[in-house]
This record gives sequence, C-alpha cells and structure tokens, in this order.
Amino acid sequence: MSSLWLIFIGIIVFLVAYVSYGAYLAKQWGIDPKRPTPSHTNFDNVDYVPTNSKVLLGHHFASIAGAGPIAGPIQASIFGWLPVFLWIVIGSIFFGAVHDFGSLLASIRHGGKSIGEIIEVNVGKKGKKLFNTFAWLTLILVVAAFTDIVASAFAYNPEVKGFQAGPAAGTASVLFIFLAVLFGFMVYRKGYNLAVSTVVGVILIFLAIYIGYKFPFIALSKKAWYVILLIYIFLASTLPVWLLLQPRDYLNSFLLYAMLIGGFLGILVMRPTLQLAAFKGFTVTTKAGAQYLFPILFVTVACGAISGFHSLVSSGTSAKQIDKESDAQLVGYGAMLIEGFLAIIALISVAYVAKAEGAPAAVFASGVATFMSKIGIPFEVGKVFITLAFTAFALTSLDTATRLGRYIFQEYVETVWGKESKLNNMYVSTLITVVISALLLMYGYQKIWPIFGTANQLLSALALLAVTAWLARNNKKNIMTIVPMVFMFAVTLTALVILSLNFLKAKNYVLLVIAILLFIFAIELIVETYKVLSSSKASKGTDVKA
Amino acid sequence: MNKNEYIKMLAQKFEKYFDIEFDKNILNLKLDLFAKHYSLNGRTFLTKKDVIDEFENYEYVFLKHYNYIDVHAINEFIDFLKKVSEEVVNPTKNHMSTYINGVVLFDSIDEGVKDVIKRFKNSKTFLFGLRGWFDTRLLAVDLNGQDIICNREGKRVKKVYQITP
Repeated sequence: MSSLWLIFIGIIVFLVAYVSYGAYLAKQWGIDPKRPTPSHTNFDNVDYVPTNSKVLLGHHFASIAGAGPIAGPIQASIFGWLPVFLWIVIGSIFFGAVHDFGSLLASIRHGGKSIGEIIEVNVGKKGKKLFNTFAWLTLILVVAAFTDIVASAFAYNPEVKGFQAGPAAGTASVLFIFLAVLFGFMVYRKGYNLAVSTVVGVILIFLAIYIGYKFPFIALSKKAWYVILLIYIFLASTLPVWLLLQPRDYLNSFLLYAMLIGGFLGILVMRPTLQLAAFKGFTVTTKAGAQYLFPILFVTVACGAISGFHSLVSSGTSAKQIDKESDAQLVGYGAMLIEGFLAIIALISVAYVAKAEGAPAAVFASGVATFMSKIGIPFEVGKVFITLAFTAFALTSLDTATRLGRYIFQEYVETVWGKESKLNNMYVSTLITVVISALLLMYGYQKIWPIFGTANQLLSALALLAVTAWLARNNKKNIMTIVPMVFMFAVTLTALVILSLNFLKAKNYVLLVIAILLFIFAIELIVETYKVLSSSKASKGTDVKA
Repeated sequence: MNKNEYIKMLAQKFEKYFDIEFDKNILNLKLDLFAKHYSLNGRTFLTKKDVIDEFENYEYVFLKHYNYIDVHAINEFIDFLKKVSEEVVNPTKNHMSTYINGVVLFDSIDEGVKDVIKRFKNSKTFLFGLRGWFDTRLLAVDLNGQDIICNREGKRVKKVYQITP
C-alpha cells in the first residue's frame, strides 16, 4: 500500500477535525473573539503583546515538537503500522489537541497563568509535593532514555565499512553546538541584525552538515558518547540560557521546518510503499518480553498523540500573546495536529524500512533520507541532516529535563534539610540528577521508553483533570476532556502494572522500584486531586473578568 | 526643538518600558531625565514561583542638557558614567546585560567634543560572559539639527534618540 494514503488521510482527517471538532470545542467552551485577552488587558509591549496567530503557531509548534513524536511511533511499530496510525490520528484529535487547546484556554482565562497554577490553586501543597516527586522520577527516565537514543545515533561501529551516518551526524552536532554559541554571541553581545544572522546561521548549519559528511572526525563508541553527552547536559543545564540554549533552540526550529518540508515533499515524489505489516497482533513477543497492544501502544507513542510535559513547562509566552480567543484554536489545537503529522512521517519512515532495528534516529534517518533522495538530496547527506535534526530535539529535551530535575531536587532538599544544606546547590543537584540518570543507562532506551511514556501520559491525564474541573466550575461541557482523561488513567495505570511484572520477571529491580513508586504516587495524586476538585467551592465561574 | 520638548518626546517613547524620573540628582550630577528598564525572562514549571531558569536585562538612561558643551564638560559626564556603572551594574548569576545610555543634549558644541565621544568606550564582560556584560552608549543630540554624535555602541540606538516631529 502506498504511504501517500497515510499522508493524505492524515491531512484530510486533521483538517476536518480542526474545522469541525476544533470549532465544536471552541463553541462549547465559549470562545469569544471579542473578549479581551491578557495580551490586551495586561499589555506592556514586553511580555503581553498581541501577536499574529501564524507567528505564534510557529513558535508554539517549535516548542512542543521534538524527538518524542519520532521515537515513539518507530518503537510502537512492533504492533504493525495500522494501530500506530490510528492512535496518532485519533489521539491527536481527541486527546492531545484537546489537552493542549484546553490548557491554553484555561491559561488565557486566568490572565496568562499556567495550567500548573490552576492545578496548585486547586490541589494544594500536598498535591504539589507528590506531583514534584512524580515529575522527578519521570525526568530521570527522560534523561536516561534520550541520552541512550542520542548516543546510539552518534556511535561509530568499527565493524561497518564505508560511510556511517552516526559519526558524521555526531561531528555535525558538535559543530552545531559551537555555531549556536557563536550565533548567540553575535546577536546578543555584538547586536548583529537578527534576520541577517539567521540567514548566515542557517547557511552555516548546512555547512556543518557538509563538514560532518565529508570529514566525520568525531568517531566514538556509544559508551564514549554517554560520557560526552552527560558532560554536555551538565554544562547545558548550568550555563546561562542565552549562551547556548536559546540560540540553539532558535536554530533548531529551522531544522524542524526543513525536515518536515523535506520529508513531506520526498514522500509526495517517491510514494514509498509500506513494507511493514499493517497489524501484527494484540500481543507481540520481543526481547523485553511480551508486549500488549493495550496499554503499551498508548504509552509508547507518548508524543504525537498526547503528551503531558509540554503543558507544564511554561515560558509563559503563548497565553500572554494570543491576540483574540479564537486564535487559541489555531495555536493550541492546530499545533498539536501538526505534531501528529510529524509522527505520521516518522511512522511512514519505519513502515518503509520495514523494521525498527537500530536506534530510532537511524531508522527515521534512513527512511526520510531515502524519500528526500528523490528530490535531489543525496542519501548520505540527507541521513546526516535528519540525524542531526532528530538529535538536536532530543538534546533540547535532555537539558530541559535536567534543569527541571535539578530544580525539583533542590526544592525537596530545601524542604527537608533547609536552604543552607550543601545539597541545595545548583551544581550538586544537577550532578546528582545526571548521575542517577546515568545509572539507568545500563537498561537501554527500549526498556526505559515505555515507563517514561507512561509517566508522561499520566501527567497529561492530570492536566486534563484540572481542565475538566475548571470547565465544570465555569458551567461548561467537559465530556470532551473527561473521556480522554479516564482513558489515559486506565492506560497508564494498567501499563505500570504490566511493566512492573515484566521488570520483576527480568530482574530489572531499579526500574521495578521506579514503576511501583510511580504507581503509588499516581494513585495518591488522583485521589488527592479528585478530592479537592470535587469539593464544593464557589459554583460561580473562576474566569478572570474581562 | 527645545530641551523640554525633546525630553517630553523621549519620555513618551520610554513610558511603556521604563520607569522615568525628571530632575534627578545622582552622584552629585543633576540630570534632566533618568530612566530605568528591567526585564526578567525565564521558564517556570507548574507555577510562576517555580523558576527553572531566568535571566535579567537592565537598561539605564542618564540625560543632561548643556547650552554649550566643551571637552571639559564631556569628560566630566564621562567620569560620571564610569562611576555610575560601578554603582548600578551588578553581575549576579542571573545577570545577562546592562546597557548604560549617557545622553547629552546641546545647543552648541566644541568640535573637539565629537572625537572624544566617538572614541569613548566603557564595556566589560564578567566571568567570560557567564555573568553577562555591560556596555555604555554615549550620545550627543543637537537640539538645533538632526545631528547625533555617538560612540560605537551608541550607533545601535541612534534612531531612538533622533528628533521626531
């Protein structure tokens, strides 16, 4: 079957969903284009600035899209391409986009406050402490999973003769890091024009790819890359953001768009046939044991269907810059559908390659580079480019996760041992978070990914719970958040039980302990949140008055 | 344009971003306008109090009018800017940048002053950039014409201080 069917069905269904279901949600939630948003009521021309919805869509999408919608579908393809495709499409429309749209609207109606503040106001201190502990466990899993994925992507294999994309991409990636620092220096410190610097920066990215391709001089083993990456994330997490993170994230967005456009055009021209079986069964045997479609599919495709973390880490920008409420549909609902589209491209790449052997980056890069070769981009160059793009997103998630982990750890230390404790130090906390994540590396991303996905999806379920409560208090229909919320709770709790049993059988005791702890914390959080949210507070709405 | 009209024009441009004071005495120098801008950017987790990273940017404007400005007066003003930079620049771990804008308005000028202004430089980077930097911009605005003389850093903000009808 031609993969064009997946692309066109995906595009058509997403468009129809946007226009119909997205509009339905907007109507049910009382979106009023005339109602002033925080960008007008709090206008200060600094943070609160009405912004063109297309520009905001671009920023918002770049901030939520990452390695998740690529790695997840590739790993979930063990069940066949059809169930993954269905979950991407249905999940994006009825779960992910609803979650993002709801969170953004709740934030707009609360004067730009984050969904977290809405949770804290409603859940209380105990709930917040539980939540932090839960989040920290999730974060060390994120760091371990993504470090392993990136190291696998860059590793040099001495037994393979000829060109290897890994070392080429690793070389390009190191050059890209230096380029990002230089870019930041020229724009921030020297005041060079941003538009001109951007053009030069993008040209230099492609030069870095070319250099990596021609002279892959950084050819290291996977273990060596572990060390380099752990040092890198320690530094990236402790250095000032303007030095590396901000310029790197800015340049990353160009990689993202180039990858999306290149992949899409390549698929259009090549029309690759799906080689993978459509459906392999509800139970599939793998090296990690028996995998059940329910619930594992729904936690493996953790992003590109629904994802918890990105509604909780807030730069505070989107809600503060929405010009009118009706733009929230495009920014909140629309951006998540585009992420679903990225996940479909990832699925097509693995379905064409027909097996997910090797790291997700390698599988994705092989597939998309093949497609792009039909539009004139040499296969090996394309592979380097796609690997660089993928790993660039993974590195962004890595250092954000490490910063967050450090922050939560420091907060905990301060609560238990006081501000003066030696552990309440940025570098010590970061080191502890990185070291503990490093210990999990021995398990490899295949074992860690499902439990990370489970924890991530649980966060989204909790955010949906908060949105549900907010809708209820404002006398708005909330069946459209209750259904995905209940489903996600059922999926994630079942997944934790099954994963725990698998870990016990395989004697992976550290992961077993983490899974059990996550289960306990999740139940406590659900009970705590439900108790508080269902207690009668004012039945009047909690919206900020315009 | 006279001094009061210019100051009013500038104050209107700055009022959204800056805290403004008029006729302020700082380090024994009477200024016609003093303005301060402070911005804090960052990312939070869950609530605004849970800051995972943040950085600060500062900008100050010290503006003084001279009927006639000579080399002695400009050197005095420059000394003032150097002293004030030691007072206001605070390179903490969240500090990214501080910009000090020294602006002199004049009705007439000694030609020698122009070279002094153009050559003036007062910048510093802290801890190899990890604690940010500060730059001093020096501009002289001719109230009778469109001319603005500035140092190299001042060129970046020349448009802001141009006389607009």
